[in-house]
Amino acid sequence: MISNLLFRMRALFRRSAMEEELDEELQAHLEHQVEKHIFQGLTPEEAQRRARFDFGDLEQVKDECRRSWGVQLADELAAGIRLGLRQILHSPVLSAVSVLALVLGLVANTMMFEGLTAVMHRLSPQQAPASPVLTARSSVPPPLRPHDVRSAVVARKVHNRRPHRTRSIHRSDESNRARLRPQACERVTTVTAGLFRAPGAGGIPATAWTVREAENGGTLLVLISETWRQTRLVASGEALEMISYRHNASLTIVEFVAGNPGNPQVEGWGPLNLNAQAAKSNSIEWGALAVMEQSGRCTSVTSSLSNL
Amino acid sequence: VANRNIDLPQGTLDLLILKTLALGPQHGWAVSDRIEQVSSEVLSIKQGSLYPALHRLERHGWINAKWGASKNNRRAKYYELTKTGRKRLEDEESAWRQLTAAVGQILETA
Repeated sequence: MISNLLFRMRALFRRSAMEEELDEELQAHLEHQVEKHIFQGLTPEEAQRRARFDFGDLEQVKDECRRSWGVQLADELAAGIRLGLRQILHSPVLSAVSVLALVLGLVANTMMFEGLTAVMHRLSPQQAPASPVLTARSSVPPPLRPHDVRSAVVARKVHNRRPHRTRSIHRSDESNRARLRPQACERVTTVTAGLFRAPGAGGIPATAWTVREAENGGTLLVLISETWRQTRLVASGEALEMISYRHNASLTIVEFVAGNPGNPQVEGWGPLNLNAQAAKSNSIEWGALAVMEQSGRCTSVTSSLSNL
Repeated sequence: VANRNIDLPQGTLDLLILKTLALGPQHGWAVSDRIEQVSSEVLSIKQGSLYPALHRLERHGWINAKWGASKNNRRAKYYELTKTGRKRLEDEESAWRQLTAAVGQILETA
């Protein structure tokens, strides 16, 4: 391996020395052959002619040797560059026009596709289903597993490192919604690990949610979409579970439930049905989340939902 | 690679060169001459194959090259087997013997 590398380096950077050695080596071969023929009784001229004939095309042999050095690609590249430079120098005006045309073509293509992409992004929310079919969940939810409880605590702890606190939780619903619009996204901490379990969807990463620390030390979970926003304060020590509903392949709504880890069936399940009904009537669409991309920091929110 | 009557199978040239160099350092012409002599002139190696093969073996580190003086006091490039080259020769020789034994067995029994 190392010898191979060293040999190639030598062939690349000490090419003239290797070429000289090759010449000398092949010349020595010819002379040995001539001597052999002379020893066998031929005249020097005849021996020379015979040796040349036996040897064949000297340049072809050299080419074969160069190929065996393993730097053919570099050789061809260098030759191509040399040829290109020579042609550019030969007709500079034509070359300049060609390069300019190429650059213009590239720029035009890029602009066209950028425009198309932007238009597609704008149009995509309108392609969401008009009447989503919600899959009902069983009326008695399964108890939370220890992992879910632990995950929720971890989520809160992650956010506790943030210095600022949101006071919106004590305001009216309208005030809360105003604060949670996409432009407020810069103040939102996104959770980057899968912390919650979503029984309906087989697992939704917590990046689908944004998490804020509320004033009283609880965790405020926020799901933002263009047509529907849901916020909920979860007091310290409460368990969280996510419930998801799907329409075809697209996620239409994600709901969460806060409950007591000791008895999750009793507390926190009430709002589920209400919110499911609200989601039905509002025709929740996930596509509006694309708006969030513009804020930069909430890309993970969008991507995790759209990946579902 | 050319010969009088028999085509040298693909990949055999490396084995022949390594085996020839196992006897001691030799320059390219001597390797070619020795193979021709030992094979009773059945095998004749063209320079277009010999030298690329020597350089390839050198690149792989199976042989080393250094300049020296030949018998007639000419400067010549001598090739000698390296440790890894010797190991390679053993492997190739073993593979070749297995192959020829298997082919021979088929020819005799089939």
